[in-house]
Amino acid sequence: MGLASVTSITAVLIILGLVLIMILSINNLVVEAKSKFDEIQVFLEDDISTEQLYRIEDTIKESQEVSSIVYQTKDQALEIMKEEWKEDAYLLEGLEENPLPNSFIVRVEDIEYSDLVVERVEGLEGVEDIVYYKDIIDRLVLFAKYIRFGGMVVIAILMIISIFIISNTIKITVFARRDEISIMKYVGATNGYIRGPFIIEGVLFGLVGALLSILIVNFGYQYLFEAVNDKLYVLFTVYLVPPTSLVKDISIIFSAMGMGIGALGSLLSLKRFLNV
Amino acid sequence: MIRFVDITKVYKNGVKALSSVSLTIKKGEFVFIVGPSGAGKSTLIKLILKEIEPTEGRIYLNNEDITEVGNRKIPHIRRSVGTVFQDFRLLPNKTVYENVSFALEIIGASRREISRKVPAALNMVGLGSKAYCYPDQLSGGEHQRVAISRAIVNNPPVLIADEPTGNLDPDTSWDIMDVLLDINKKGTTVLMATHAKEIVNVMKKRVVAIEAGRIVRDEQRGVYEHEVANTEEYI
Ligand SMILES: Nc1ncnc2c1ncn2[C@@H]1O[C@H](COP(=O)(O)OP(=O)(O)O)[C@@H](O)[C@H]1O
Ligand SMILES: [Mg+2]
Repeated sequence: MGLASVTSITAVLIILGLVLIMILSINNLVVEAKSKFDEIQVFLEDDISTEQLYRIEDTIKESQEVSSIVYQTKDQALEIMKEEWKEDAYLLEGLEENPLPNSFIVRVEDIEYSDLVVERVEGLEGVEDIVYYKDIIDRLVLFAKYIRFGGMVVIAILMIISIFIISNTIKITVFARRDEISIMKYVGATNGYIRGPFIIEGVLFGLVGALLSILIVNFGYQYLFEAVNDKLYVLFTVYLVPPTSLVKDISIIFSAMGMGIGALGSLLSLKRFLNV
Repeated sequence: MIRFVDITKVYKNGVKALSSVSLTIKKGEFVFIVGPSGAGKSTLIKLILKEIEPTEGRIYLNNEDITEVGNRKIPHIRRSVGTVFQDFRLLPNKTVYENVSFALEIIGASRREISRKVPAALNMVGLGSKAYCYPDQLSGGEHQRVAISRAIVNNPPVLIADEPTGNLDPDTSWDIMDVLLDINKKGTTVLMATHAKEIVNVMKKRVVAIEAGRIVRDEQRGVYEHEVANTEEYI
């Protein structure tokens, strides 16, 4: 039973850790994306005609909201990509043909205008795709919201389950000591005095669970982070929260939550026995 | 000291255990509550200990109205009332000394206080030499003496005993009565519920007789019942 209590607290906290890491990483991504806020990239089809190209350029230029427009050739795009990938750039050497499209890089006065510009350009012939950050940011924010909400629901359910498990575990101890508790009450012990040792028991379960989950989450995430970093996905890890910045916060949050869950569980287990 | 005013107690299942009971017990008195099983004696005691709430009426303890006190004050009421039960209620895994000192530890007494008061309380009941025995090494009468010692170690003004001799043979019962009398002589008010006819008749103390939840008799230097022949006639 003690094992079940500790395990359930550990499980809650590990899932909490995963949700936290995901949310923090998405926030990072949002911040990063926001620094490129005002950029719209209009990718062009490879077989675009000069006429179509001019029409697109003119449409963009006619928009008052646009502050600048730059034509980026596929070769330039590849150069930029090589720079960004740094030591992993050799991977791009093997390409027989440059897969990147030509594009216009458009800057708008304000992020809010990007929808307007996109709307005008969208339907034009020769446009392959439009990537603009407002859209991505909105989606990311929404995604973070879902994760936060889903995570909270899962954590709440698991918390209730672990409080229940702990309260049942402590109930066994309380039941074994019920005679002592009843005598204590007759000689005038306060509820607080009687609760004390049981709350300590619950808080200890919580602390052990917290310790385990702190170790698992910190080391597990460190390992994952390095593994991802090692295997070429540099671009990806840029957005992951660095493990070192997590240790302190996770330790504090987990300890507090673990002890809280333990204390609540033991309070619940005593409720019936204290009403003498 | 203890005053019941028009107390009625109806249990949740509808049983009317006490109806319009009024009773005043003065400081230093020794009072027997007598009556057949189910008369309402234990109910009366549970009301003083705040184990249950009265349905109607008011209860005063030390001139304080304890009819409606919050849960937080109940421990303080119980500290001023020592209690002894028919089934002793000792902790089997603690020594005699620990069973008594336990009552002081719980209320936060200092070590010095504990080491002074526990031996005094054990001597009071004649168990000074058995301090380090465990309950299973003691006789029934000795069990009850430990319980009494625990009840008085804190010097409460009132000692309440619910059938304290109910599990004991007559000789042992008399030993317990001697202890209770000694305690009463030192100024503690003693309230004892019992149906030990012989003890009540010999002791010549105040007797409050309860039948079916009503006080039917209350006399100083009383006896268990007047017409001993009554019972036989009804049969
Ligand atoms: N907790 C309870 N719930 C319901 N009825 C009770 C309870 N305790 C006692 N009674 C009833 O109240 C009446 C008085 O009981 P009690 O005070 O224990 O009598 P006594 O101690 O004189 O034998 C009895 O009829 C008993 O069945
Ligand atoms: Mg009774």
